[in-house]
Amino acid sequence: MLLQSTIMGPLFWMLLGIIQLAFFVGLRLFFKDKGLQLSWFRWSLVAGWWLTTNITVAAAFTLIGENESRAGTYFLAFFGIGLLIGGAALWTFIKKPIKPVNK
Amino acid sequence: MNQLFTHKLTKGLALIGLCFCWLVGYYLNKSSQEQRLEPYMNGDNLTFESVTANIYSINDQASSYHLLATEAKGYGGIIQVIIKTNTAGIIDRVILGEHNETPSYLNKLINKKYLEQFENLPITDPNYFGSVNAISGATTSSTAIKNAVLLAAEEYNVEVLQQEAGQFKPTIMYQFGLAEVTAIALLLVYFLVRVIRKVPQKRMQQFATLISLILLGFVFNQSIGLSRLVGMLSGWLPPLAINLAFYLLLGSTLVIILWKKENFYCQWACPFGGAQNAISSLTNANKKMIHQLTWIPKLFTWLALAIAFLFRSPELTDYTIFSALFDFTAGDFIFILLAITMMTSIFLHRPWCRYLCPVGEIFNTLIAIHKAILPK
Amino acid sequence: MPNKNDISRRNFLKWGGLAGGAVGLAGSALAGFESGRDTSSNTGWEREKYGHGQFFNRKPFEIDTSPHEIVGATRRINYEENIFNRNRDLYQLLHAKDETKRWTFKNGVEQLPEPIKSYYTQNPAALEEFKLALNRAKKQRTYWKDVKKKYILADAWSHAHASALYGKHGARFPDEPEGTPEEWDFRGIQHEPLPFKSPGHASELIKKIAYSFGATLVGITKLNPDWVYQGKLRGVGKTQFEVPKHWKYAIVFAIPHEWEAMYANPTYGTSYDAYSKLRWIGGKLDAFIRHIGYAARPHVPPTSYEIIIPPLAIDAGLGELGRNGIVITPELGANTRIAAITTNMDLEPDKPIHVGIREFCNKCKICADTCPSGAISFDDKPSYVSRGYKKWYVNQDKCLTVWNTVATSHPRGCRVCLAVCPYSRKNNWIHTLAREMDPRDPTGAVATAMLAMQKNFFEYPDAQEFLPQPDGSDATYHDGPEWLKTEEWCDFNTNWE
Repeated sequence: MLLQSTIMGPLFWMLLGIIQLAFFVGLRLFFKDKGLQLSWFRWSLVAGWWLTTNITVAAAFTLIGENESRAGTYFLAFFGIGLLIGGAALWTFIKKPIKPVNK
Repeated sequence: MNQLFTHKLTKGLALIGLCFCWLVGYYLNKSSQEQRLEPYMNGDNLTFESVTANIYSINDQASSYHLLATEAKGYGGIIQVIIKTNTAGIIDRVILGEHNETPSYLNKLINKKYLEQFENLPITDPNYFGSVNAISGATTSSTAIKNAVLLAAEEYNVEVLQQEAGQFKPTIMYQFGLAEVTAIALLLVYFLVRVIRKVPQKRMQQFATLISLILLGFVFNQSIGLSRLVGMLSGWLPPLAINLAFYLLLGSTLVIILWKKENFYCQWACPFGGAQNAISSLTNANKKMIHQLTWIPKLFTWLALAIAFLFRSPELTDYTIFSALFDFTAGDFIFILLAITMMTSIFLHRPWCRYLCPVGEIFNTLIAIHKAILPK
Repeated sequence: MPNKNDISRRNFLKWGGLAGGAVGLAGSALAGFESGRDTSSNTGWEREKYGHGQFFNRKPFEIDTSPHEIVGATRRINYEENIFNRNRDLYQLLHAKDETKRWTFKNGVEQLPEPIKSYYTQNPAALEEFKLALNRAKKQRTYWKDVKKKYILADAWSHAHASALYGKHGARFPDEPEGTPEEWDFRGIQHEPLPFKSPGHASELIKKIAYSFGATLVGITKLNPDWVYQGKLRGVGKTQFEVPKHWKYAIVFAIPHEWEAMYANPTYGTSYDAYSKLRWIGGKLDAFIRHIGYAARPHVPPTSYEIIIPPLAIDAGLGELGRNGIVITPELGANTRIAAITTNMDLEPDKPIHVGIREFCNKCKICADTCPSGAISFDDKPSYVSRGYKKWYVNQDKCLTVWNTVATSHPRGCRVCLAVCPYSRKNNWIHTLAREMDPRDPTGAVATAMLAMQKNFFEYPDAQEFLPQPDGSDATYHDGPEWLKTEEWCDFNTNWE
């Protein structure tokens, strides 16, 4: 297995970390280009959503790896669709401008 | 002019086609009790006589026994129940014949050996049936079958043994709970909004369907699906006791169709409509109607009804996805359909309701017919 | 002239990149260190030999009260209350070489010797069930001829493990006791018992030694005399006896079955892989303890016991009572095969634990739904009082009948309930999340969510399907492992018998 390999294992995790980081750098630029200003709260929602999506996909594929392919697919479909809907709802929410705080 | 005529012709033919399927189905599926009991009469040198319409006395080389045919009122329709007793009235076995129940519920009964509880009980003595315990998780089906056995026992005792009637009382559990209250509450909301009219209608509709989504949907799984409607149209009424919410919703819908020519169920009470509304408002889905697709629900509904009538099997063509979402119980194909519907509803408004749902199609057709007959 | 924004963006990327680089470097250092330190790189010894198999931290869940629900007076279990003892006695009577001593079913219960006479008088259904089981065993032998080609590799694998158990002269290792426990348990002791710094030290050492012999889980408890079978003492014979004073503490150890084969019970899995390993661990631990000067006696499968071990394992904090009567552990679930050593070492006992397994069984019932014999109770809470202790009722006799029915070469077990229990899971991150979250959740929401997912996402064969044709289809929960599926490796062209 790749991850149990003594060389490829650590390399994999390092690469994954770099890629995830690059994703957020790119996401930030993307939001900037769309003219969206994100507060720390909205960023944490986005990060939370992205984290949940990664975990859901990882969990589903862990089940598939355990020879429980039906369970894995149902898990992915059930939570995945929820995440898609949640993601669309989140996108609608971020598009709304941040209301200025009245002092 | 030509287009209008073609439309009317198509609609007329569709209706006639459905009636034709209904009639053919009726004649194809009529069977006598004798035909029903035949598979259970086996043995050499068989002779049988009909003691009553439902009770047969059989003699073969090995033994003599009675077969009693009775019916249990299950969720999906009639469950044929056959009871085999010896000549002294001791139950040998209880067998389930044709039925339209969801396999998972009946499997529960079979796995937990529910029918075995009846073995060796005397059909002549009402006291023994108290020992038969319903299977938890399938209490309605258990009680339905027990009531069927009691019905057969009553007939046997009255007709064959000439005992006095009323000894075997079936258990009728009227289920009036929060589900039924919710159905009534939704109707009240509708009346209040339509009468008061000060509260914006769209908002109240959203609110009502949201309540329906939570309660009638996830908590109670009480939607109007196709199978019970088809069952009713096939001449079989779901028992009132266990389907109160269904009757309340259906009754309200039909009354409001007659009175206001509006679709109360789809707009105010459908739990899946609530799910669609919720997603649509969260994701700002596109509300434009795609008119090129509106033929789909018409065709699907017609096919579903026609085939269900022909085979007299309401469960066979029920492609509604309500139980898949609210009870996580459905065939694999229905789950896939649910997944596609949910994903589509992210960017289209109420795609199931507009382009697939047979229930809405039926109600809207009734409204269209009403408008055609009485345009005012 | 470069844009002000360009400069600040570049600066940001520069410093950010450097910071990221530093983090990355630290990460490499960490990965390197882990790689050197982690015992999973000790080929052949891997993590389990150092006790890493017992990865669940039990400390937060230890309880000071009894883990058993006690109703009224308790008593010792009797020899004949173990189905294997009963059946062995009956079998010997049915096939006695001396015609005068032979017994047949026609002779009836009255002609049976005690103690099984009393047992079967009170439980006539058990005798009927045994008769049925014997008939089924005949059918099983015939059916095996039809399915032999499909399962021969799995049968050979099982036989290989079993062949380590018995040899020409009976049990191979450890030797069966000869003489009284006072003689046998102390045999070979050459010097004074080793003086440990404290009972805690002794406990910790003996656990590490047990791990080094291959145990996955180890727990220590005082021996409750109620768990000692009354009526037969190995080395002495069928006799009533007081629990020997030197059986002070019990070291209970557990290992799992091979996972891939276990998930494909009853046809691809076996009991013997665990049995042979447990005998090996038990025998070595027994020898070790006596070599450091203490008395020891192994209680190991398949039948070398004076003790009923599951409640002992619960006392030792290894796990909790399951619906199917098995001790269910957090690490191994129902895939927990146990054995014990009784000793007079001064040890510090472990405490029993409460992690919510017993409560989960109230709602789950997956083993009861899937049991091919319907032997497992469907009651929500345990309702059967067994010698003063409350548990879920399991009909041993019906269970054994299925042993004699399924598509194995001879009756060697069913173990479907082990495979389908939701706790029987391997050690990866998703199951760790469940294992750690559920016991810490006071609301039961995690358990409800886990159970809902288990019942809705996962597919189980119907109970009937595990039986041979025509009643079933020789189904298994998971597909058999490819290394035991004959069709992956062999072509049967000729008339192979």
